[in-house]
Amino acid sequence: MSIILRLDRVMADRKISLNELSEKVGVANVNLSKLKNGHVSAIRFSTLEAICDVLDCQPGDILEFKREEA
Amino acid sequence: MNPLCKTAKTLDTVFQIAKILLLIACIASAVAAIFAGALLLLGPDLENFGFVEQVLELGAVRLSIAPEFELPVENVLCHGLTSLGLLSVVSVFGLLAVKYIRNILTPMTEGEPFRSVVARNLKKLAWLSIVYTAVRFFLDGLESFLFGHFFGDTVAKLIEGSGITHISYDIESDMSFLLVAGVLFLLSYVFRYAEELQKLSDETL
Repeated sequence: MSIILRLDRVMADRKISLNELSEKVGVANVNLSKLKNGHVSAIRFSTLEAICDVLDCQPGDILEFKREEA
Repeated sequence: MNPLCKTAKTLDTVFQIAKILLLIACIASAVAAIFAGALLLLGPDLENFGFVEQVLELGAVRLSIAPEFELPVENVLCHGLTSLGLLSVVSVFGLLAVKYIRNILTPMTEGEPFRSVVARNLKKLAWLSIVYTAVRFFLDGLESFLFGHFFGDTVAKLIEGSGITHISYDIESDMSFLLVAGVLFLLSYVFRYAEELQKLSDETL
């Protein structure tokens, strides 16, 4: 997929663990792990908003577009 | 428990009972067919068997035959064998249908109706309806032919002088299962689409 999730990078910058983020965002640890590893096909605006709020970042910091080579 | 799961469980129980009844019908018809076949092959004095009823069935019409128009017992047995064979085939199709329906109900009882097994079994059920229509058409034709073969003379004697000039034995078969198959194919498509939507929903955070 050409959209890459950079959640792990932002989490490392903010020095926040998966468990802590999970508690603050209100998303299950397992689901957040899937999001971190890019094993999801879509993300709700409400989830993105909650993550950005907790991590104090912009959606663009978490999501990155990479053109797929033909 | 989810009300849908409850309904699915109740339906599953109903089909479990239907499966048992169909199995009994299948076994009973097979045993009766073997018994009738044995009577025909062993050839005992069939006149002594009191169970051969002097009745002719023409569709929904039952004709009680007078003793002077005695039906040949061998022919009655042969026709009985055909009817039992038809019942066995219908029971086998019924058993297969129940199997597929229960496969469809299983994920529903677990609260997950949009699994690939549902669409797959709906498609199987649709194909089964088509095959059943074809087989039933053939068997109805065969039964009609055999009826004419076994009882044609008796029927001709019965209507002699009644003003009827000709008797023919046409094939009448129920084609409504083709419509059922069409609906099942559509349902299968709908469930396949729903399955994709469910997958998308499951992968959305």
